[in-house]
Amino acid sequence: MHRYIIRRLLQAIPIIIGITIITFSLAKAMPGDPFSSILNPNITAADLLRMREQTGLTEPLHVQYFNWLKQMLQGNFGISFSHNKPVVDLIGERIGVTLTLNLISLLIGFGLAIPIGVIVATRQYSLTDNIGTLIAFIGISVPSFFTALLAIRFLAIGLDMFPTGGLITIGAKYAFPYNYLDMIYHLTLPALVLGFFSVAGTMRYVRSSMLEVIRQDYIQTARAKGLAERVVIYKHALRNALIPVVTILGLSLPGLISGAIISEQIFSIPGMGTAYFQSISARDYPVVMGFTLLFAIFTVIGNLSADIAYGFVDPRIRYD
Amino acid sequence: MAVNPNIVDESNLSESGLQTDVQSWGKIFWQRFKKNRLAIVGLIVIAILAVISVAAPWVAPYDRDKTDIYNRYAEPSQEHLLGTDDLGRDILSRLIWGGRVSLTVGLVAVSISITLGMLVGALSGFFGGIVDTLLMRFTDIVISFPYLVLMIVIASILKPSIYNTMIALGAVSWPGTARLVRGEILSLKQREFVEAAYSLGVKPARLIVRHLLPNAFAPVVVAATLGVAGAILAEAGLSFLGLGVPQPIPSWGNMLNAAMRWKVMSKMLWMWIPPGIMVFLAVISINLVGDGLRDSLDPRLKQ
Repeated sequence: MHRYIIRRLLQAIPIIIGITIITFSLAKAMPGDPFSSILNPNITAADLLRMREQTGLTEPLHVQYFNWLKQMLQGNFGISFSHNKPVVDLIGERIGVTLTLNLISLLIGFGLAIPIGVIVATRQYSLTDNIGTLIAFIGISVPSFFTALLAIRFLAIGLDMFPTGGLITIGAKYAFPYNYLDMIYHLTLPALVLGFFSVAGTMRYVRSSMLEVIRQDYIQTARAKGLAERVVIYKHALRNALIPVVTILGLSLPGLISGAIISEQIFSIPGMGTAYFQSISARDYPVVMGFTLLFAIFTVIGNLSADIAYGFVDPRIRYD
Repeated sequence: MAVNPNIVDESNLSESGLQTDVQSWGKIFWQRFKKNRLAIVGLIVIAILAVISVAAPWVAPYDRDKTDIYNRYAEPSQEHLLGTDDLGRDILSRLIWGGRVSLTVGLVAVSISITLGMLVGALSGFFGGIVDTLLMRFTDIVISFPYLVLMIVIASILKPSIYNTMIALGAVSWPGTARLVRGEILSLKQREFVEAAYSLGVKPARLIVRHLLPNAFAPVVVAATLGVAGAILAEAGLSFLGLGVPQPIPSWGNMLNAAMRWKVMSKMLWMWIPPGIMVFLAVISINLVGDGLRDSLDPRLKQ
């Protein structure tokens, strides 16, 4: 088991190096830099050159790359040009909101998908199964932002059940705990919308995994032993069927901070997604590079965790 | 001649119980596909959408770019079945032309992605060794970037245009196909017909193209079909953010962008709900077809 983990970790290192190179190249490939949109005629070309020199934009590319890498490894992600604060601070501000939103939607997604998937699998080909499958298909076929727009229009504007966006009620200063409750109230609709997608995708996975497990011989043995059907399904079948679901959980890890970029825009939630999108438009390199790197590293960690967790849960794959 | 039941010749072939009709795999596949009613429905819907898109110049009631400033934000009426938008252009016509754009971008993006993916996967699976390691590491690196993140970054490097959108979409989804093709080729390499061809002296390029790839097709076809659905969704997202197909060219995605204004979202539903529904119809019908394809091409299901 240890060898497996160590092998995975060693494989991850060149991938991470490659990620840094590609992140840097992508950011540098973007036309323009933070100073190219200054239209003030009083700022001469010499001034612009001086500003570029000061921020290190005139050095040869590989020198810039190594400087950036050196700073990164020391934990310094640079200073955002548009927000005028260290990128790390920006991440600290925004990550809480995004994490909360995506965690809630993940919980909703898995919390609903697993029971629904199990129920639908035990009633294969019945009406429940067909309805469930249809809903799952609808869920993965509708663009997420369209559902968000529909939800805002009909639930927030139409029925006035939820606020139309933002994180807090403007102008209201609530004391604890009402300020947190206010935030959760604002996050409910986005979390529901995102959760809906989670449910749709995961439910089919759970269903097909369950179906495969139910056909196995040991399930028949359990039934032949006289165990109640409920015990057979929920205690024996479900545990084995959840193995691939663990993989999906690991793969959803990067989505916790990088998911929902479009939905954050629509609901005007000040999270990682909106910050990222704004910084791309503003050509704010430190933020773009820092965030992209963070997202990619999280994906690598997520894949690694999924693989390792799979190794824990399914002993058969450790010995390859 | 005495009837000897142990010998099967033309005289008793029909009573022997052996399968005497040779069916091409195409026929077998179609018979299985036909039974999946949802897939057939999906096929019909996407066929209708495709025909309407191709026939756009003749089907659209108005010119798609013709502005009519005196008639802006008009509600649906006899004259304009779906109303007009912020510049007075007829929404139904833009919807039909937008369908053409969205479907085309989806198809071309998937073609790019499949071509790249098959190239990388085939080379990687066939040659193995250092080529395989290098190509797969590169694929792993690209896959590590979240889909949307990579698309947004690439789309902002290239200026928004139809062609750049196709490139951006294709450049992000090829790793999945590459892994798939590589896996198929690795398992096919063990088969005897490959060894036979190799020992006959077939050159590697010909071996890959003529022998290996045709047998790896089935999962690639399924992946391509589902990929078109994904590409249409992705194009809608990119265009909605303003990074995809630029105005004044209509696409279902950038027509949805109108809903970001409060007045349009709450009072002018005809402007943004039809494009959303069209995306949904196109994507769900392609998904149903792809699912049906996957079930009927699966060699493990014996009838």
